[in-house]
Amino acid sequence: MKKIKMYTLSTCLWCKRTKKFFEERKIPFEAVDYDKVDEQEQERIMAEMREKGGGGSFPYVCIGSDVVQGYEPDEFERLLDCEKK
Amino acid sequence: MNIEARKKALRFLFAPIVDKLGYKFNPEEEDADFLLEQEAGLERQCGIPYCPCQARTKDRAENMKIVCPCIPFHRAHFDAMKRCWCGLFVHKDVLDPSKLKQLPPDKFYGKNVH
Amino acid sequence: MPENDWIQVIKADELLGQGMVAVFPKGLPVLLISKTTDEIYALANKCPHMGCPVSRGRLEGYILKCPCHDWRFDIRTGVFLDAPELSLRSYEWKIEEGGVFVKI
Repeated sequence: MKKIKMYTLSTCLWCKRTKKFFEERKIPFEAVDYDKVDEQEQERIMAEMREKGGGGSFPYVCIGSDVVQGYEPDEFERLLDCEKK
Repeated sequence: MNIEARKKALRFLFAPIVDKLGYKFNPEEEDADFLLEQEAGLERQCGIPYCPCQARTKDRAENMKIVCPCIPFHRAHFDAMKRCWCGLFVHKDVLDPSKLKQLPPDKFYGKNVH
Repeated sequence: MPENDWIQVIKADELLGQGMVAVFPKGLPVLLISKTTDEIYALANKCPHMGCPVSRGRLEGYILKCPCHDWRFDIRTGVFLDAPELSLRSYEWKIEEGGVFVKI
């Protein structure tokens, strides 16, 4: 099973919906709220997001080696389906 | 000022600005209310109503580009989505905001690099 | 619509060479900027974003930056540089008999 990791903001509506998407499908994921970690960790997260071409827009979802920035249920489904085939 | 009063004040302040930019508040009341509440909370916490869906860093110039309404600083990107990133505002002609998608900034700007 | 009146807001020698001065004709916030003795601008002293007094901002050349969230305006037109649909209102001004007048 692909590892699912996401960076989110506790204030972000689309981050909440993204978490809900995976929870409803009972797919385990790891989520880190950027605004709840210390400054050093924030810098690390931002550097990681920027390295992969993303800016500071949340949610930032890693499905295996793929990255989806934003709430994109169709794209989440597609990447999860790829795994089943 | 309590959060409910500040939400009303932010609506009052932002409505004429976004109107001139071709946007309106998201007609999905529940979403707009949630987002305004987050902004009012951020304003209470740090003095500035930042976008609740974009990250602040130590760079003031960058942070000022995500103060609501941040449409002027991301105009082409938001116009392409017909909404701002967090979805508090949508283009005036949008009747069903649930059909609008978030287009990742790197995909948008990547396509538009000259 | 009531007609605008010419209101004296300050003595000319109190403005010239002073850079930026905040005044309140008819109780309205107006910012006078004196670049030189014959180059003066009169703008609304209220950022269209959240109403901050732009007189507390920094002027570099013709660009005035709001102190609150760094919105930048061209003082020659009042236009917000990142979205020309938004601007600081610009007022007519004149110097007469040693006084600076603003039409408001």
